[in-house]
Amino acid sequence: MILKRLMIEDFRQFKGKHEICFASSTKRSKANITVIYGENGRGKTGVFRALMFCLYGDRRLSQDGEASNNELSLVNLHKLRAEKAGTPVTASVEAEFTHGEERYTIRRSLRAIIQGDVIHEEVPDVTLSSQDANGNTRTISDPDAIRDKVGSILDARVREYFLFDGERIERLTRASAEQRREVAQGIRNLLNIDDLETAIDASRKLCRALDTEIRAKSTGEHAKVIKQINEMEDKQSSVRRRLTELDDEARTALAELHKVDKELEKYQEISELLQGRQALTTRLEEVGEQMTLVLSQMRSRAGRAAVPIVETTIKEVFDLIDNRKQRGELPPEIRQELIAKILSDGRCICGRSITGDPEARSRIREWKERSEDPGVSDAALDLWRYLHTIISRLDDERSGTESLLQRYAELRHEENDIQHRLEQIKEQIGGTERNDAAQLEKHRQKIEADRIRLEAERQNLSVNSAQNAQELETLRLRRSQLESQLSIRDELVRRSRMASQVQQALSGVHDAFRKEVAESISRTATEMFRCLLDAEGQRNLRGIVVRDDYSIQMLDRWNTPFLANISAGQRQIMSISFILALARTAAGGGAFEMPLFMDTPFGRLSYEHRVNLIRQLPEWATQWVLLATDTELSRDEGELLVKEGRLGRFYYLRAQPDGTTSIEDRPLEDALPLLRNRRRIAHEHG
Amino acid sequence: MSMDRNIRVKTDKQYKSLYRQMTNLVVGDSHELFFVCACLGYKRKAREPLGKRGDDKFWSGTITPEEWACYYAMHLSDNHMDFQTLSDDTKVLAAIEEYANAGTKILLEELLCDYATVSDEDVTLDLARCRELPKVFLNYVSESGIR
Repeated sequence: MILKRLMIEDFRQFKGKHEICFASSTKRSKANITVIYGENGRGKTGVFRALMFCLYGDRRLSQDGEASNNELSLVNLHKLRAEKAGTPVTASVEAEFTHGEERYTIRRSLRAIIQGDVIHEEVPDVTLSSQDANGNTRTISDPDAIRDKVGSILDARVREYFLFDGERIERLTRASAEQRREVAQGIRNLLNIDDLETAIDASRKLCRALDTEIRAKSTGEHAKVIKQINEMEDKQSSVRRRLTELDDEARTALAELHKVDKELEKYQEISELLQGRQALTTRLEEVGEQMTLVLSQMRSRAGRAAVPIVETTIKEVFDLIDNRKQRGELPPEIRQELIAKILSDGRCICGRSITGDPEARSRIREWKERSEDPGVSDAALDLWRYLHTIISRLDDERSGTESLLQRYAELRHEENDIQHRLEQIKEQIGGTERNDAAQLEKHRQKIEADRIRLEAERQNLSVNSAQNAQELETLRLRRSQLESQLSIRDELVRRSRMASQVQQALSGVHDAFRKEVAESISRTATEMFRCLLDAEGQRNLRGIVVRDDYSIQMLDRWNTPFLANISAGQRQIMSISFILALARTAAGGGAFEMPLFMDTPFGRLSYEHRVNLIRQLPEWATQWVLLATDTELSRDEGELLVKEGRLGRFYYLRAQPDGTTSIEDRPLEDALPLLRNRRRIAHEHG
Repeated sequence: MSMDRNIRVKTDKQYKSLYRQMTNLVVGDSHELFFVCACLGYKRKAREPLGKRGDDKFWSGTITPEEWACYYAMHLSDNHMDFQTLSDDTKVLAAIEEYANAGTKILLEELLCDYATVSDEDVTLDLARCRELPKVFLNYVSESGIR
């Protein structure tokens, strides 16, 4: 889809008619960036919202969360309030785009009236016209047919990957329930396997029904094992349900926390303390993540760390074999069989007889005694090699263990220190005379405690779930053994086995498919991440992986988890790469056939990262719409966009005295002076 | 000394839950916990036959070559450095099982008593108290190598 034009009328902040023409590369020009520039609250996201409304009839975006319908009224409120009560106002959005050889125009409008403070909006009207290469035009107005047509051009399930906002980028940078949900949702949408999941569920139910019948007929251990399998499956299902509930609760708690923090920000006198607390809380989370990482590294080292316990024995055995090697006894110079043959033949290999030479015979017998059995000799040499490796690594292993323990102690110390400082801040905030602030603070503490409880429960359940899965596997194996031993060839058992095989096969397909998509996203994200990283990052960081629990991890150059240690800018680059990888996978692996809207993408990026993003992204997307504020897009970045020949259109969102926004088309030569100098921005923001 | 992959390694059935819980929590796999316990038992010269309480725990195929090498070294040292005694891996592991069994008991008495509920039939960790157990465990193992 190449977006040509968007016409907006009385939609959200935009009163009256406004038009945006989007840049797209042609044979003569590679300019495919459209900048929509304006201060916060001027309606940058509103442009994307207008497009989503027009194409899919969306009234809200995923970022709207719990916002009420009144807050999200699509019809321009100013115009609505200016009309007499009960007089309807119509908002409309029209988009023109091309796809393949065809040109499309879609127009969606809705009418609203205001009564008191309540806004009533009607079901929108929609029409879609298309024109083929021969100029034949067709218009459809059936909403279902339009939905199917637009869906065939860009699947509705992946539409939101084409809008990045700061919040989504931030959400993906933290190892949290929100991150896992976002990643899982993204992968699920890309899989498009609803039918497969229904089939898995149906086969699971069939297995259970057949098992119930078999159990009623079975006796002894067979019946017991089936019962245990059923109980374990129920247990696993409830663990999975609870994990989902916990993730939902954790997300709700976090949203509530942000809400309370916003409320608390109103109290100026404690704002410094709140900011301090925010910084400390963020650091506490980072320290927590690092501690979890160190604990998992300790887990993988615990077994090896026991080798020094038997160091003396290992060295004794090694020295013994080594001495025998030094003495030439290992490997034996001459094989035992050959010496035995010389003695029995009474003739040396050179042909000389030794029967009349007792001294020679005695020397050869000595050889035979010293010579080991070849099997034993080979085993001893193998053992020598293994022990040599173990001994040569002992010092490294010891220092590795020590540094892990030391690192953990440092983190623990820092955690205690932060907690102590947070307690102090809590007391200071609690001591304020503002009762409402104190109430909010109390509420906040409760939410924090809930979050810690939820995370602890989640961790315990995850451990239980892994253990249950192992037990279930063992029980299924036992059942199969019993059915073979007892020669149960009952028709019912045969059917149950087949149903179970079908379920396992379907689940196998599901898992393989999910894994394939996750791997493809990991690969693409890594590729993009490495293009966007600065030189130092490229040296130290290897790539991004999506793990089995849908969390994202960063690997360092030794392939060990490193997410907890990367900088804020690198985290942001990681998130952007991940979302870009989702978008690319949604686009079928090629360039994104949809304009990519990025809201405040530069955030914490260093200049080198910004330059990389500006240079790389237009190569990956057919169109890039950059929604930027004055602090986001400085003159340096603007000049770079022009120099690279990528900047095609520039729109300025100007605030009007009545609170609405107008969209001004600016020629490129007028656009750059609008942008401010980076040094000035830095100065103004301390 | 073929590092046989098909032997079922046994532990006392009392430690069934303990092995299950410790795996994923403080060690990656059962053979690692077994190795730690075997080293502890060996160092303290403590052996305890499993008798009828033996319970199949894991396949010897999961034991790493380095762990095998340590087991062979222990066995050789116990048998006057006679390499012929390494010809039967089942016998080697049977002897190591006795060390591991005694080592698990030592581990319980010296470290896990603060985290576990012990009965004749079962040993269960209280997971709520185990947040730092990987660290405490590694520290204990590391110090056992110094002592």
